[in-house]
Amino acid sequence: MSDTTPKMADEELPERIRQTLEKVYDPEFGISVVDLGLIYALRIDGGHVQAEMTLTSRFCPAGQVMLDGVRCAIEGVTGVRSAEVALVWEPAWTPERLSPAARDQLGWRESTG
Amino acid sequence: MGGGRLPLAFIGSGLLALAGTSAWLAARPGLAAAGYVDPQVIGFVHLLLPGFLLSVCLGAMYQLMPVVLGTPLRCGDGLPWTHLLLHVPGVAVMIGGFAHARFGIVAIGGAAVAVGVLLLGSAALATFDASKRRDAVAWSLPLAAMWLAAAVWVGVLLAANRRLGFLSLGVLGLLRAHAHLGMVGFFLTLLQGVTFQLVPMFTMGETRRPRLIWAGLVGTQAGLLLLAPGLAFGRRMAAIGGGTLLVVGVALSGIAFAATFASRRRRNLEPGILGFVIGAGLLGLTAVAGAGLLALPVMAGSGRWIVAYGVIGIVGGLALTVLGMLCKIIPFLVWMRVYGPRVGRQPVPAATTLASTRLEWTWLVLHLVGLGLVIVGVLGESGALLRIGSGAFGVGVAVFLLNGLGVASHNWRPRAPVVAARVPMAATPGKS
Repeated sequence: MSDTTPKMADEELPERIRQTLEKVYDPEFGISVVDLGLIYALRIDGGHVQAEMTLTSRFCPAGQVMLDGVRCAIEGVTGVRSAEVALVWEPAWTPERLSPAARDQLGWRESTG
Repeated sequence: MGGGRLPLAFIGSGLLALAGTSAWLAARPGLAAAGYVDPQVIGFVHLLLPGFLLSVCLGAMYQLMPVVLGTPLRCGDGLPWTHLLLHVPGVAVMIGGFAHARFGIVAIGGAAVAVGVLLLGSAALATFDASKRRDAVAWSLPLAAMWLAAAVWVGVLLAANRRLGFLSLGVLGLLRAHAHLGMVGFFLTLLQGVTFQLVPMFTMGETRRPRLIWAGLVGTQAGLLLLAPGLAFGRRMAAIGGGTLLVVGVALSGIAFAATFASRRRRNLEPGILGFVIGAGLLGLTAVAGAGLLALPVMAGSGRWIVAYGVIGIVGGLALTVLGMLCKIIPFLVWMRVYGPRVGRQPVPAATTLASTRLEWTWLVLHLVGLGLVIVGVLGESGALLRIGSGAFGVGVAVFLLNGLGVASHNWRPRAPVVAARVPMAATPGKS
């Protein structure tokens, strides 16, 4: 996840947002959107946050729920005035974006994948 | 569709029918040993097939069609609910007719079911037409709907003929054609498509061997185009040719499924997914058994082999795949309704935690044990094994339904997640 923050702004805000998003879980796998590697970018400009995220599948029926949930979570963070979340498909999500903790939870080791 | 209410309504009615099959078996455990043309047996099969399996699949189709085809359902908002209002009473009337050998009543109930299926067909065709997706998964939806329409209307004809006696064709052949139009045309076609949507989604895998998926679907469609008329008109060579194509089609789909399943990152197997995989394997076995029955008339003349074929296919293949997938779908639909609006605002449980894994494993084991005992009981003509096997199946159904009630209870009693978040909760986020 990359983030861009203007100088002299709240330097801890990206970390607070990241920590908040670690509590937003994919309903099927029970893994956070951060550990799944779904959050591609966060741009913060004077209290307004623009996020880019993707989904594990183009046909995920919970997609809109996840987008709304991420937006609500970001808007609930101290220092955030407003947020918008864009759904992107490039680059395509791959399981290589899973964090080590996510891989453990799934029982996936690369040699068996 | 009102936050999943429609799919849940179809699925709920299907599960009620499933409970009915369990009760029926408890009252008549020797039913499986009766002739397959016995009205009570046919009634039971229709409670299991259009009552339970079809109801669940209809709910799943109305949920899946917009997702798979990437476009909203192309029908009026009231159409799916009208279908539900035709289907549930229609099935109930039909079963009542069978139970009392009143075939005029069966025809009336069947006609209501058939009109409902026409509504589904119109929605499926219109939505498919509006979609840009044209792979095998997308094609499976309108194809399944069309075969279902053929199956139910042949069924209505058969029932009306029992009452009025207007058909000159052999009724037994039409009955076999009706059964295969439904089981192969609707259920197998649907599975040959949506499997490659749902399994990768639930297991974090990838759809592999797309050409084999296509070839498998084409094989079964071509096979059924020969098999159904071959059975209906008593053309043995056409039926054998159709059965052979079916086996090839199923085998090709099976290879593609094995490759897709092997790609999963979610290595820990849940009981629902395992049940689905076993069911898919049993469908392959059923296809081979069916071809064997066609090729070996001596065996086909024995009712117990045909009953065993039906049990493997319906109770084994279809019921396991559907119940296995329900272990995933019901919690997901309830989660979307209850917890979806709360995501990001408060901690919510994962959909997979709504159900009891222990109850799911218990259901799966009982179902497999019951299935095995019933099949051996049918082939060995053992009343004792039939009773024990039916009992195991019935208890398995009760366990499955109990688990389902536990999931449904989240509607009235939402709960906070049991598992703590990975990161300790910071001070409650709030605007400064």
